[in-house]
Amino acid sequence: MTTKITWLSTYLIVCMTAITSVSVAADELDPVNPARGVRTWRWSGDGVSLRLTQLLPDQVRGFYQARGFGAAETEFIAGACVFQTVMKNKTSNNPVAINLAEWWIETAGHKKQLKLEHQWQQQWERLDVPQTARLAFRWALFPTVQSFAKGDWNMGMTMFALPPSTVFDLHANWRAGDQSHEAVMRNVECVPGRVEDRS
Amino acid sequence: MTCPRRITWRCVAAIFFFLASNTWSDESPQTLVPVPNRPAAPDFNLPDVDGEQHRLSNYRGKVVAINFWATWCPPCLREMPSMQRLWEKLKEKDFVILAIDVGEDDETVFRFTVALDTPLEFPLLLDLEGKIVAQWPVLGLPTTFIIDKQGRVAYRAVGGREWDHADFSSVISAMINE
Repeated sequence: MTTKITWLSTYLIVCMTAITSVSVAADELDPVNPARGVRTWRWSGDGVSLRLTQLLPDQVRGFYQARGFGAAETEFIAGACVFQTVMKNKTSNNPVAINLAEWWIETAGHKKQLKLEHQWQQQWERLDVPQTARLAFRWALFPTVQSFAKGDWNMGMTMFALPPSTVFDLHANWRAGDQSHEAVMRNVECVPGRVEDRS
Repeated sequence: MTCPRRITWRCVAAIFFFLASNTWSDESPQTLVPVPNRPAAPDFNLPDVDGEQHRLSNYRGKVVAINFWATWCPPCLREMPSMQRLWEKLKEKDFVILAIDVGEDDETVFRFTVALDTPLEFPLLLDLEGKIVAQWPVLGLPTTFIIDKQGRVAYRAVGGREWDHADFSSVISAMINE
């Protein structure tokens, strides 16, 4: 009898552990904000919240041209499917550690990784982009590696390097203590390339 | 907000970031994270927007809040008025705020301060080439560190905060009285 109870307890503990470490998928799509013409996707769970908001190509152009990028480079960034990304550790007592190298997207049956800061910086170095512009680029981007204690949060640009209007699922991973977590944001859409496409 | 012609792109960018940040309002806890073992704060000597030099080690004996920020960063802008209110509350005590702008020149920072509704009275320092921020454990903006009277990093906060929250002033007041 005691042995049976012990096995049952072990089984329950294993099940509970599996439940807490398995991917938790939830997504909520905001309606298009008519004032801005942009859309936002949110995810919340496990004490963490994540939000992606489309950035319009004109907004991205304005930001980077004002910081020393040339027209060609600015155009390239503006077309890179850019989102304003916000991640918060709202209630997790364990620090939430992320590495964007472990995030991935799925679109039209293909898996793809995000284009990360070091890859962009290699490109800017080849193109002789001024140091001040590269510095602004570094700080405007959502950092590749971060750790959020409870109450910490950060905001920055993520660039998916996908064509306009591409629809994709984002798999965002993090660790909190010894647990792995994953948020799946479905049907995220790169901003359309033309104004008339946004209606 | 007025936008002179020659800084139209900057205004566009500023407006976009204000808009993009509109939904930050979901409540986050107002926390300061204790830094284990309180390591020595990396020293620096930086000019402020008026050209006056500030060396961190010269503030030994005071509690110092070091805030890394930029004018284009929405949460940085959002927390500035509350930082000013904290400054007003504690400036008569042994407390200093040094807000270090990362990668922007004095003209950009000056324009930003003129456009603010709340005048900022604490020093705004310029880390034009990003050399100082690279010496600190900063991954994103804003990040704030609270330095104790011995020049050690006691607390950090990643992301914006409401700095006039009672919890912060009591933590800082306790550090002043240490």
